[in-house]
Amino acid sequence: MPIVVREALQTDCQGIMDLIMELAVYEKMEDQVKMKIETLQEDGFGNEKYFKCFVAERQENGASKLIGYALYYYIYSTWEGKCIYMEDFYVSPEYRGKGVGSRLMGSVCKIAVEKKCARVHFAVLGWNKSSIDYYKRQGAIDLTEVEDWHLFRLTGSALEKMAAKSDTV
Amino acid sequence: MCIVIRKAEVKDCPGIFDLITELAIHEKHQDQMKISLEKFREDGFGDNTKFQCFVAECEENDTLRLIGYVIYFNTYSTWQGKCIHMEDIYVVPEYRSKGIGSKLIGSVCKVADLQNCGRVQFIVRDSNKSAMKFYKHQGAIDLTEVQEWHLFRLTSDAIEKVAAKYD
Repeated sequence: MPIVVREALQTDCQGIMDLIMELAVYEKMEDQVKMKIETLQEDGFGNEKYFKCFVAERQENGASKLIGYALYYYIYSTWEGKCIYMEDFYVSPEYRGKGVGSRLMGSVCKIAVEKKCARVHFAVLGWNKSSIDYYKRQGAIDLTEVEDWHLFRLTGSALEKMAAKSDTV
Repeated sequence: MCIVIRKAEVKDCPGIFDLITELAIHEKHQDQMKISLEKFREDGFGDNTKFQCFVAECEENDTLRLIGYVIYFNTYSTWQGKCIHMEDIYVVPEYRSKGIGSKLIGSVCKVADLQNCGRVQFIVRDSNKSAMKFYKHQGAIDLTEVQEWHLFRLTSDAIEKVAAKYD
């Protein structure tokens, strides 16, 4: 049962969309998914690319299926320069425990080394103990636990109200 | 005293860099600053820009001085699409409580609106109670408090070890 980890192609978008929804269900936030496949295709593979992605693909009896992915993009630290943010990292449950996750995350980290990114950041839900244990075993630091960082979001009407305060020349 | 909020220009780099250093000292992390002014200039105003910036400039006694800045860049949500992350927001202490911070954040939110970005995200330390209160008052949601999101980091040593597992 060979599993290949490779860079995503535009033709993978439907498979990636299916996994995005699986991950949202796992995180109990499936009602928040508004993504459409056309948007994912344009944003990942159009003229301006907003993310990059590795996929894990399983081949069996001439058919292939995506069973995991790691989606990331570049961010910036005013202290360290270019960094990477791993937005999504997921392996379908029946393929866990086979090292597929490590290979996906390893692919992202290899890019970080090649591009001289000092940090790879990502977010994990506090109740997801098995994932937290996994990341800590990889040497990741929980900045919320250790340095008290909280993630904040402005959206909807709050975002618009803030925008109205701008008087930029 | 006239304060203007505008897009940063390459000539602003030394002034912004001074404010970045001030913010690092304020957060007691000045030892973590590894970037040089030259690199910062290249990353913000070179061929392949990695961030955008608004500055607050004050004219006093015929002298111009940068007294605040906000740095942001695009991110991506697989649920919502294009978003913005606000990496740094800082106003020098003597110019606070004048609405400058709100105008700087407002500038970023206006960009979010123009670019159809559904979210502007940023991080705040829980010990920074005044900032937490300010942002919540503006309608920002503390995702760590409400949804239990934790921010994780891999740094160089750990990145290299994990990279070695790539085939």
